[in-house]
Amino acid sequence: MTGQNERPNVPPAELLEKLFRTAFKIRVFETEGIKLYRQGLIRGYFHPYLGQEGIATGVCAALREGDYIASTHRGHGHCIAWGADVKRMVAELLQKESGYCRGYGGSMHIADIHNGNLGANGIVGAGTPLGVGAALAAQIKGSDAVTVTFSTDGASNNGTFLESLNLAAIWNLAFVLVIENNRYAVSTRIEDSTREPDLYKRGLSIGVESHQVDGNDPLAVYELTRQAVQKCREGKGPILIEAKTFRHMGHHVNDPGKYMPEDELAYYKARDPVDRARNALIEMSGVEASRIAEIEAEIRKEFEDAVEFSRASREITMAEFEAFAADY
Amino acid sequence: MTREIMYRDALKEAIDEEMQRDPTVFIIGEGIAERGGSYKVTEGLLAKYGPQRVRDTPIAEAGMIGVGVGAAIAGARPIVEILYVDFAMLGMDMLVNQAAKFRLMTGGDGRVPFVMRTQGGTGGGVAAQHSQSLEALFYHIPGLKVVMPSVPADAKGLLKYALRQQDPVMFLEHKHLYMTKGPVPDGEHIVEFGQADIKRPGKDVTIIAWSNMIPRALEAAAKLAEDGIDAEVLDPRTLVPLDKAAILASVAKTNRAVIVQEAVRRGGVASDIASIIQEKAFYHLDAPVEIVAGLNIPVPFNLELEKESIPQVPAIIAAARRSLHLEPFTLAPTA
Amino acid sequence: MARPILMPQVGQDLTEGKITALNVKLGDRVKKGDIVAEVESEKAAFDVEAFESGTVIEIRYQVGDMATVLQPIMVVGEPGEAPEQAVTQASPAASAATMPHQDGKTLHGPAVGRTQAGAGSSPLARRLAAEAGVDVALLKGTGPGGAVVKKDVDSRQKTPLAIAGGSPLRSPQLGSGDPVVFIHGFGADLSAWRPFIPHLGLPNPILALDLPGHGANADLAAEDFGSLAARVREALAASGLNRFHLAAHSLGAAVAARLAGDGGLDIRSLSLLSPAGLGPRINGDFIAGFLSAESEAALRAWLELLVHKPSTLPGALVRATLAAREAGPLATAQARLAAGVFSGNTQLFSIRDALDRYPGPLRVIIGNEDRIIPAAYADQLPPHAALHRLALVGHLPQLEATALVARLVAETVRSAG
Repeated sequence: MTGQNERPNVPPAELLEKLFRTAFKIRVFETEGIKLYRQGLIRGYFHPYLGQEGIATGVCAALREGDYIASTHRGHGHCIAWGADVKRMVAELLQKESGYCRGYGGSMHIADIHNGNLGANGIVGAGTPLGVGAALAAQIKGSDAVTVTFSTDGASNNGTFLESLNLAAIWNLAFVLVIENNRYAVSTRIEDSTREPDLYKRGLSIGVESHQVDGNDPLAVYELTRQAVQKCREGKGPILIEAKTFRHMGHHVNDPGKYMPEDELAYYKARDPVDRARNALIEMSGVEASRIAEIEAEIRKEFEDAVEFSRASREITMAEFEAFAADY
Repeated sequence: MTREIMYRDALKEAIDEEMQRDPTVFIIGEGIAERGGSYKVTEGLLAKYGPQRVRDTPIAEAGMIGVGVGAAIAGARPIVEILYVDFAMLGMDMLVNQAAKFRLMTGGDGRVPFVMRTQGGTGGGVAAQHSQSLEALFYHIPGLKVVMPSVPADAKGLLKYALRQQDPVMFLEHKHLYMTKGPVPDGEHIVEFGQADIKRPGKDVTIIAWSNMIPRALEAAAKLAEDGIDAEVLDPRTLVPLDKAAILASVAKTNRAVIVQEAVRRGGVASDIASIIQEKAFYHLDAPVEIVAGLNIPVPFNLELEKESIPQVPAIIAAARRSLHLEPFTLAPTA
Repeated sequence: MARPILMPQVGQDLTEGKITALNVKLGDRVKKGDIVAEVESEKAAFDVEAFESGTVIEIRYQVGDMATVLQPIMVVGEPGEAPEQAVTQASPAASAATMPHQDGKTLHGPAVGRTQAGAGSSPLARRLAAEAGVDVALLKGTGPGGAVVKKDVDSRQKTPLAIAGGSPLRSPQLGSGDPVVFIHGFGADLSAWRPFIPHLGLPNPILALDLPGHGANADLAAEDFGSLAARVREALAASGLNRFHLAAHSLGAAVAARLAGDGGLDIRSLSLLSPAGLGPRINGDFIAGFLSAESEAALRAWLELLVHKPSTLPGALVRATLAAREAGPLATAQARLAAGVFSGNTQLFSIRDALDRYPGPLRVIIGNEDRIIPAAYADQLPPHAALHRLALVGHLPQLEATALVARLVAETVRSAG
């Protein structure tokens, strides 16, 4: 086995493999999930994370058990990076009882509250105050848990962005706000939403340490988040990270995204975060192509198994629903 | 044994006792720490529990409600004090789309033990943005509990109960009630949700009221008694959950109901209670259900007009008499 | 097994999309993941991927066709397999969308007294009235605008006019032995027996009652024959009577027969005069004319049908009937009762089974010239009945052959011991 020593000053192989596995798993989940949608197995809304995998992958790799994440309407990637069970995710998308929310939530609302996932959210921007609240709860309980809210360029124009980040600042909360800047709020270009498309500057204006990073580079995202999380645990939070990225398709599964210029898309596709994670693993840790193929096959199998599991699962019964609803 | 204490002190006792009992209970709001709150409900709590658990906030209702909801989801027990219920409108997304939905959308896994304390109602010329009774907005949203205490004992017992629940509670106080006094039992005093209280037993007509309309309903009942009319005054105390059984039992006894709310009539809780009565107790009704409610207008500043715009005692008396067929009314629908 | 390849879901609300390309033809092998067709929505083009491997055994569209979302575009299976076996994949969402809600039991509220136009009544008053068998539409209301409220029903129940009330039976004559209870026919009231009773010569107490919708019980409702009989039974029970003789006329005779046949009461004997319920026909014109007559002349014209010799019809009877009708809601109540027991020329009830079951002395008296109910129906009587056919007598034998009918009724009573 090739020792790390022969490749001085590169990230550990375990980290590189983890980043690739996560990014690829998200890619497979979204790509195959869209097919399930097309077949009518998934109904409702479906916002693919395709193209943005590098951010969730890098950020979550820097967190540990006991921390919290809060996500967006485009939340599948965050769940997977956080370590969610793909079986229960697919089951939720198929509205089955074995899903994370027993089929009550769906694509936009997967949460795993017992494992620190505060959930995806159908209201753009809502994750920010919720994440700050979790950080406040941690502080009051004397825990050193860090909360990360994944947010969006669109959400940064929402009032609660300022209100809650400011609360995190005055209370020195262990909170990291990650703005996934994919340049489009649904179909509106960032230049039409704000005069200042470098969104990290908003944090600076209220005294919050703020950074910008290439969101399509999982390793760079990981490293910046690792430092931010460290500072938060030392009581130096909150920290804002703006991660520049781009969607590979429209806002949701039925949006062809024709408003996204082809050259822009080509530019980002050439900087595909999954490819970069794969290349980093190959180049920096010298993993053989056959090993990559094994990993990919394993992940594809995991998804196929999840579909089988979900299709075999049952839906909530009317009696269960009535019992649940009676409490309202 | 009981003590005569003020509504605001009863609330403070509840918060104090629950903060003592549960270290995850904390309170945030505007001017609630050093200043002790506009109505002195939180006076002394900062000194006792320290700045971690008693925090002033900037003027950012959406942010503070949202942060409170987030803290609740993550397992703490926040009390978010909003100065006026009117200001809670800034945080409606967090209440309606987040707090109220979370439990269902997580299939029952996620709970939101969150209490928003605020106050509403007219208050002697504070005009339309500081005088509203907005319980119907919260009542309409499945997933929110709505509590409206009328007396100190209920204020204390219901707030203590609220701080032990797993669902978001809209705890709506009334600015006119903070200085009112009433008996509060010594020792641990808890009032469960969904238990109406008969504030005055009677047999001839049921008057249903809550919050600041309870003192008026009682005054009306006393005047009706002078004419030999024995009115029952029923206080649901919590609008969600609503003690329908108690309401229906009282109406079945008296065969008539007068519902009094300070809030504007249109789309109000009174209308919903009336619909419940007509649906479930139709064949017990000997007269139309009467609603005495605020006018369908923003509350005016001018004191006389303010008074005119919300229910007064004579209107409650007249409604009760109509339901007893002692006053003329037309059977025909009016425009 | 044949499996479909579906027209993909390409939009939230779109129900169909256009087939822009078909990449396979019948008999081609496809494997999972192959792009078999291309489709287009308003917004964009989509590939259709095979989710199943197999041979294309059916293609349901041509290029350019509009295809319904989530319905099969084509079917794959084994070569030679019949495509009919392919069913649309039931997606979980689709099944949920059609999931029935709770059993849709249709709920009907309790039948309550209908109100006459105008004054109205409270729901409580209607319920209490219905429970007491009082027709709220016939009550006088003291509520707002004359609405009937609880108080009005309460006071009605306290006034002993009702059959179900405190003293339901008027007692024209006191006496000893088992009482004889008289029941009048449609459109009459208990006073009709007054001229007849002195001819009986019986020591027994004589009682009579007003049927619902008649006499003092004008505001008591009976919707049909069953409830009419039930009300009379309640009245008898309420007055504490359980052993008595019955003598009755026409519709009242049918009620008496029903009570006798149903058992439960110790009915010593049964005397039926021109009983209804022995066959289907009745003179519907008489009923309609009687109910609608507004003048003495008109009413008299109809009432004369009751008798064989018009001169036997007392003018006082005509005027009293008209006067009673003007004083209250009698005509309305009787019209409603008539609608429940008769339909045109048809009687909606039969007493033949009831008479078969009655074990006691049974005597039936009819007039051969009856123009209301065919006299021939008397042929339908059970063999234990004593039948008297009176010549030159119409529907009112107690009027046209008073002495004979009184004697026959008295003999019937005595025969029971």
